[in-house]
Order: sequence, then structure tokens, then C-alpha cells
Amino acid sequence: MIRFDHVTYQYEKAFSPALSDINLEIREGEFVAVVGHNGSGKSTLAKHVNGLLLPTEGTVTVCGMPTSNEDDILKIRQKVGIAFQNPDNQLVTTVVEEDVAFGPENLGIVPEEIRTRVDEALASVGMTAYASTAVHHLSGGQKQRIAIAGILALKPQILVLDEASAMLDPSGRADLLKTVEALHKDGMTVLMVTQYMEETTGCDRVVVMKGGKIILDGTPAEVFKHTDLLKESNLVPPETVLLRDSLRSMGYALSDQVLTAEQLAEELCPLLSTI
Amino acid sequence: MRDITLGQFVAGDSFIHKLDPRTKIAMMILYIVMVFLVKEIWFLAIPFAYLVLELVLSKISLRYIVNSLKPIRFLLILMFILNLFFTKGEHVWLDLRFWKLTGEAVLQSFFLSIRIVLLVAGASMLTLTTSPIALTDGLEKLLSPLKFLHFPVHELAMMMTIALRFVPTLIDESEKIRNAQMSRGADFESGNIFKRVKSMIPILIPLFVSSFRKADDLAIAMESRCYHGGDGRTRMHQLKFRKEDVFAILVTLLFVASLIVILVLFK
Amino acid sequence: MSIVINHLTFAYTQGGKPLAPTLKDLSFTIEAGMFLGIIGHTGSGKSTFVKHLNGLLPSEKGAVVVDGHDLSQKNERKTVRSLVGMVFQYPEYQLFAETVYEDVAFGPRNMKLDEAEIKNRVTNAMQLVGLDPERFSSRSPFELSGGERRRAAIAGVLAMHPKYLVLDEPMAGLDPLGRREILALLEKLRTESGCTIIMISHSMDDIANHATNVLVLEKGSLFLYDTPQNVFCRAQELQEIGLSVPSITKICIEMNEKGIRIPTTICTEEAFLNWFREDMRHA
Repeated sequence: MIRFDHVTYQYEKAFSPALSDINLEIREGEFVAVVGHNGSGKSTLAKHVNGLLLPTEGTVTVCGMPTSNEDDILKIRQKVGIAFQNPDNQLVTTVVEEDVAFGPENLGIVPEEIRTRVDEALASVGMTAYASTAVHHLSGGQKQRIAIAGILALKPQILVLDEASAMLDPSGRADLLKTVEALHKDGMTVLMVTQYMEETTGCDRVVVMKGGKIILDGTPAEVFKHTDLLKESNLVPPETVLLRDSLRSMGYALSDQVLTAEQLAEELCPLLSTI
Repeated sequence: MRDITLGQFVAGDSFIHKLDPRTKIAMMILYIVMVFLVKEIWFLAIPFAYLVLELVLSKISLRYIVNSLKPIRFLLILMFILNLFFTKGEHVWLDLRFWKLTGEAVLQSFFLSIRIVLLVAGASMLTLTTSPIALTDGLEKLLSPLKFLHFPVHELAMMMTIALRFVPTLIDESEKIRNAQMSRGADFESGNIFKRVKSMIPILIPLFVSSFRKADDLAIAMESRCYHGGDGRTRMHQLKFRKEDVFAILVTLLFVASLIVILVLFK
Repeated sequence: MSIVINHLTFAYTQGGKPLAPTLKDLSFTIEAGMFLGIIGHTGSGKSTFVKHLNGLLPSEKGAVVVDGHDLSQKNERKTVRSLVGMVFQYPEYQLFAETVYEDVAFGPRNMKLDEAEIKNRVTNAMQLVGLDPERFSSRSPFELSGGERRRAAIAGVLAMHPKYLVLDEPMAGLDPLGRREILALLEKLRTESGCTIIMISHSMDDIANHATNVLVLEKGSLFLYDTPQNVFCRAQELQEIGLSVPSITKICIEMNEKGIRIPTTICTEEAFLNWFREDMRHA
């Protein structure tokens, strides 16, 4: 669905490239997390997926269309929706449903069809009750869900979250993640850029970036094997994974599959009862 | 505090509230025409009656109208006094040698003051019963013929929409910055005007910086959502004239017509 | 030396009419030297509460007394504002001056200190937050990185030499490295200069690892005020008011459900591993 082919990107006036020689393929229906410290290039990567940034070298193709082709850019942006970090800075109009309608309006869709799309989009993020609320009365988490509804109204095939949870409180973050997981279950391809490693344990695939390069790419269990490498890249593995490693060094035989509290308790308890 | 920004709009579902914003704009224009047609105080009774009718139908409390007049009270008083002094007339009520109080002056002062009160109150009726968003939509539609003269109607309406959306956010933000600077010992409450203006700098600069950042973020988000100007854009909410709109316009025209007849008869 | 909060009640007003109270009858004492973590669901009144600690919001009902200065006295507020430093959410948004030096000096200038003392304080504060004064003093705060801007803003508060440092989610939006730097800075301040830390945070792990005391607010009322161990072992009650517990506590709870009797007062990795070592010795 999305292919990065030897992509290098250099910001003007920057000393080193923000992305260097990235090769990455995201397949239909995947839920991929991209993690990395500030300045690792993960947000730059996200902005390449819908042609907000164009590669200095190499190509990005979305559903077979290269992002460098200007004629296709609206089609690409309709297929790839991006939710950004700051909930306050991406909603355009004062009233919730009008904001959700903004995307389809840009595509010139007939009013009746926009109405159905808006209603559907609001329902799938669980915000139907807020259709005629003023945006500034919503919490951060609710604003992000409206931002996602606004993207869904464009009927995209790929949802990109560019640190969309970074400014939310834990309950807002949990709601957002639940919404995204539900969308993924219904067939949406998701690319989630985040700093919170604990959010990635449920993904299909985790891509770790450092200094504009991909240093790890695999299932969460595979990636979290490399705790030392993660720490070197200024990332903090989930507390549970750190504990798992400490217990291992004390001699407990815990598997790589241990990523959450339940899994840890599951594997640890039988070991304890044998002592 | 944050709700200042919905303008003076008072939500409601009265007959007036439900009218198309274009109707209400047209009604206000006709009303203003009525007020200006009148050259004698007594005939202001007709636009006044119209205003009262509108007020009753809108179910808006008189208090809001009175509030909307508060900012112009000094102007009103000043104008009243100036006219009292400088209008010449024959019916002298009081002679203080350097200045004569005449009947004409009193009448003229009242006439001009009432006229201003009526104008402001009429304009507030529009903003009290129409949300800024509806007003923007109405203006965009009414001005759309100007597009052919390359007047940026869509861009103007989009700018208004975004401004309305961001005013509450910016008010919040300035409140936060103010609190932060006060915690660092900044003093916004004492000193002369010059000092106070200077003390605002630590609030204004961060506010500007943040506005630029917001503009940047928003532009990227809008672009991502396929925004490409007004060409080929549709709207979910279509403005529609209903029976009630036709009725309201007819009644308004009736008032204008009667006023003209009366003015001609009593010339 | 302490901050005494006595029957503090507060309601915002809208159009002259008071709304439902945001803070209800809070009474407790924050002792000097504490690392107090404040937790509560969004809307529980945390941010409103901390604005009472330096008189940004008036204490009309009840009293807040900082080291003997009663904040209901208007003339005490200025004194208290130099005793209680405030770091709000996303403090980098308050930066305004042309250079980092001038921005950090804003607080001390308002305190009418002499130029030598100001220079001294600014240099110290910048060193404390890890911004080398030689490299950063004359740079514009707007060309720093996100983490550096945050630290510059905190330096601006530290330069006022507060005895109490109040922080409203100081790590929000930072990457893991940035978070660690801020937490390390807070620990250093507390142990080296005896500064009392009062921190609102959503991260239960950070609170468990650093706080000496935890205040839980719920709908404006005091819900719990105790050590982290005694607060987090009440997972059920916390969950009911929409709060979670540290990851380690979660593991302990899961283990108890599977029949391993590990105390749920354990909320840090260190305590967890200690228990294991103890347990192995018994075995």
C-alpha cells in the first residue's frame, strides 16, 4: 500500500538529513507503529506518506501512485488521512459536525452524501452526541477523535497518527487508542507514530527509528528483545518489559512474549509455585 | 469568559432565530433604510414598531439590547449636548445671552439620539439571533456574485470561519501566559498607561509566536484534508429559503411601503 | 515551614454567578521537603488547586498559608510568588525575551534584585537545568529544541529561588529522554537545595518512582492523601474515579489473582525485586 524506496529527505539549512535511505513497505490491513526519540525522523516520515513533504531522493508510492506526481496529490490525500499532534490546531470550524464535513466539502461531494458520511464518521468515533457542540468545549481527547472523524469522512484506506496522543491525558489516550484499534479491526491500515512504547505492544509491527534510519523492524516481541539498543536510542521500553529483563537476569526463564502485566503474571506465577 | 467569542449570539429557536441568515441580513438593511428615510422624530415610531415586533418574535430579553447600547452611551450623551448647543431655532425656551435653548434643538437632539439607538439596536438584533457561523455563510452566499469580479468571497468567508474558531483558543492561551508571567512576578495592574502597555509585552510576544505556530499547523492539517481553495467546493449545510423567510421579507417590505406612504401624505 | 491549606473552597463564576464549586473544603498540610504528587481525573480540580498556592486565584473561603504568609492578604501575594515557583503546562509557551539570558532574568528583575545578583542567579539556574550559560545565554529562546525550551522556561522559575516548586505536568509532550532529564532535575533540586516539589502528573509510574506523598483529588474534594504505597494499593477505589495504578502495581494485582500473595503496596521495580529476593531467601 505504501512503499518507501531509498527515501532521503533533507530540510533546508539542516546539517544532516532527517531521513536517510529509508526502505519501508506497509501492507494493506497492517497496524504499524513507528517509534523514535525527538528528531529521529519519525514525524518527517509521516509527512511523506501524503505528500506534505516530498523526498529529496528516492520515491514514496501510495497505492501505486508516486507522491511526487502533482496530479495525483488530491487522490493520495483522500486515501491517506493524517491526525496531528496538537488537538487545538487541526480543527477548522467552530461546530463539530461542520468540521467533520470540511474534508468531503473540499472534494465537492453532494450535500446529502456529506451528511451521511459525517453521521457515519461521528458514530465510528463515538461522538454522535457532540455533533452540534462547539469545538472549544471539548476535551483534548474528544478533539482528537473529531479530527479522526474528519479524516474518516474522506473514506481513506490508510490512517496515519502523527503523535496524535502526545498531548492527551491517559484516559484521552486510551480512548483514542481504542478508537484506532476498532477502526483497524474493520480493515483500516494504520500507521501510528508515537513516543509511548507502551502503546505499541498491541500493534502488528513496530518500526524503531534513530537518526533518520530504521534500526529495528519487527513484531513487538521481537523489537522488545533489544532493550539495550532501545535505551541507547533514547527510548524507554515499557516498565513491564524492563521488569521482565531484571527478573531474567535473576534467573527467571521468561519468554520474549511477555509485554504486558497479564502476560508477566501468567508466566511468572508457575515459576514461583515451583520454588 | 470563552463564550464572549460567540459574539453576542443568544441561542434560541424562535421564529426569528430560524430565519435564513440572508433573510435577516436583508431585513436589517431594509430596517436601516427605514430609519434613514425618516426626517422627523414622530415618524421614527414606524421603525420602532418594527423593532419591537422583531424583539417580541425573537423572545430575546430586552436586557441584551440595553447591554448592546452601553458602549455607545458616552457618544449618545455627547451628541445630545452638542445638538442642544448648536441647533438653531426660533422657539426660544431659555435665553442665557451667550446661548439660547430652543425647542428645535431639543427636538433635534432627541431625534438624532433615538435614531442612533434604533440603528444600534437593529444591528444587535441581527447578531443576537444569528450565530457568527450562520452570518458568515449568509454573507458568503450574498456576496457570491462578486466572485465574477475576482473578489475573494470564499477566502474572506474561510478567514472569518477560522478566526471564529480560534478566538476562544487564543483567549485561553493568553490567560495561561498571563498566569505564568504573574507567577514570575510580573505586574499588570499598577503603573501609568505607558508602563502598563510595556508590561503587556511578555504576554503579547508568546501569543504571537503561538499564533504563527497554530497557523502553520492548521495550514498543514487543511492541506492534508484535501483543501485546495474554493473551486469545486460544496457545503453540507445548504441555506434554504422557506415560507417563513418569504413571509418575513413581505412583512418588512410592507413596513417600508407604509412608511413611504405616510411620509408622502404628511409632507 | 509548610503550606497549610485550611477549608479551601473555590467556585469559578460565569456572568457574575458562581458555578458549582471546583474545590470543596480542602484541608491538609504540605510539609517542606516533600515530593508531593497530585493525581486526579481531568476536571478534578488539580490545576485550579495549584493556582491557589501562589494567589493566582483568590482564596475567598478558607485559607492558604505559605510559611506564615496568609494569601488572603493581598499584599502578601508578591512575597509568596517568590517563595512558590510555578511551572505551568507547556511552560515553553511563556518564553518571550530576545535571549535566553533575558528570559531567565525576567523573574529576578521583577524581584528588583541588583544586576550582579541577577547574573549570578541566571547563570546558576541555567547550569542547574543543563543549559550551558556560555553557549545558550545569548541565543534566542525560539531557536532552541523543544526539550531545551522547556528547560529554559523552568530555569526562569528556578532563578527566583523558590522554596516550593509547583509543576503542572512538567513532562507533557516530551520524549522519553526529555522526561528523564526533568525528573532527574527535580530529584536534584529536592536533595541538593531542599526545594519542596509539588507535581501534578498523569504518569502513575513517575509518581510511584519519585513522590514521597500523593494527594488524590476527586471532583474538587480530597480523596486520599498518603504515601504512594498506601495510595496505590487501593487500586479498586482509584479505578472507580477513573485513575490507573503504576505498571508494577498492576503486575502485583495480576499475580494475586493467580494466587501469589505479593503485597499490592509494592509500586516500584526496586520494591518488587526486593520482595523477590526476600521471597527466595525464605524458600
